[in-house]
Amino acid sequence: MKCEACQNRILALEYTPEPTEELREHLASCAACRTAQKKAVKLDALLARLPVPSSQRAKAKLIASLNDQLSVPSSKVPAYRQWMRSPLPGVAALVVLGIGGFFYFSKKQPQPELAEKPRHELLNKELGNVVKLARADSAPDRLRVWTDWATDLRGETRDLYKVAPAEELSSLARMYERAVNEGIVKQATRLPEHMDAEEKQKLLQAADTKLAEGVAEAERLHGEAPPQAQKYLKQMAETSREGRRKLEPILKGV
Amino acid sequence: MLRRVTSNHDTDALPPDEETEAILAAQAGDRTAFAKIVSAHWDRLFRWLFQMTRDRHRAEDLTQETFLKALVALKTFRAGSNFRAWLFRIGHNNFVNLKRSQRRTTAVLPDDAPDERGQDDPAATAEDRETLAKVQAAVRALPADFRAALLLRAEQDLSFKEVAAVMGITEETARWRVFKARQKLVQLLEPENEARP
Repeated sequence: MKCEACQNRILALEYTPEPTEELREHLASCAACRTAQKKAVKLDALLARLPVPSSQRAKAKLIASLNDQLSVPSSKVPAYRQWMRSPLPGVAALVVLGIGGFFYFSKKQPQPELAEKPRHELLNKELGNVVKLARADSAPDRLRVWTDWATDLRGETRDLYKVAPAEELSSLARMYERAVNEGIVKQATRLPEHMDAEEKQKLLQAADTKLAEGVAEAERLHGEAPPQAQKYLKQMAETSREGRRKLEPILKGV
Repeated sequence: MLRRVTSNHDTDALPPDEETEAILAAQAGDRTAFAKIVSAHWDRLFRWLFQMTRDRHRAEDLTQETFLKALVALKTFRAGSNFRAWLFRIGHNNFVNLKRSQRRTTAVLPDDAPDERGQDDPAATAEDRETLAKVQAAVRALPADFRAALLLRAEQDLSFKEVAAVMGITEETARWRVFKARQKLVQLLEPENEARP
């Protein structure tokens, strides 16, 4: 075996779980390749030690929320529980938003007690939306829920943009983007063909109007926002604009 | 003699049988079983996503999202197959989506992540810390696709086949990316190592 081939194999991590006889023999007789192998091992050791900040608090909060928030007795909210057991694609993103919202707000206040249940209004709204979405058994209904949810997120942004730190606004902007793209736009594309044209148009028009309001509002707030908020307001305006662009051909097709 | 040093970040890792049991229970709707799965896989997933995003808050957000998407899609997972690879695939998709959305809004992933050197093992020597900082900087400088493949293989100990599945690439491409990334990083260690006996 040539040194180059040996060292390439070492670099390619081809030597696990056990080195081949050929490789072993070459290493036994070649100091240069043994050095290369030592370097590779050292590199692995260093990679395993790359520093990472602690995320134990976020981990504990998610676990606590799974144990507390999501384990709602089935007799109280059967639809919700039922939903939790069935993977619905549209709902998935909303749950993410919901718990994301919880974390977003939980970051704002010190919460040393892990057992403390999240009670923030946004989380409650989220869970309400999850239930609504679980009960929505058609694309039009889901489109309405997502449109309301996107509007709620805009409201939260409006309340917070002057005081919230950048990372929180970033979370809100991402949540909004998902509500628009994975919610409104996706459901709009799934509206049934046999749906009454007038009703369809009305529904899409309502979503489009909300997005248009989203563009105007984010641009207006941008003008008076502190520097750390401007980027995210711009992002939200662009999300709304992009959502409208995607809705346009669907609306025209009605 | 050639055993690779593998990382050990599964602070709450479950033995395979217990993991399968927890997955089956979670698939049947048991949320506390899913909480156990979160506990077992959080550290590794967060670690990888932190190296990808270089931002703690984003990595936390992505980790949470990944678990919640996994929760909702859990029924599609075949118990007994590699849960970690499946989970990391969801995490990778989340990361790609994040990057895509940031590209659209002209923002970029932060390259100014806080310097974590201060959190090193206190027992490590100054020289070790320096080398580690060098490797850290070099890992951060790798293109995201190469960094992802390298860390999945070298740090998370996934097979090339699993790395390929996580990243939606061929096994050959996964091998190539890991190889090139390691080649670059080893070169970085070279002068220092040669100076040592």
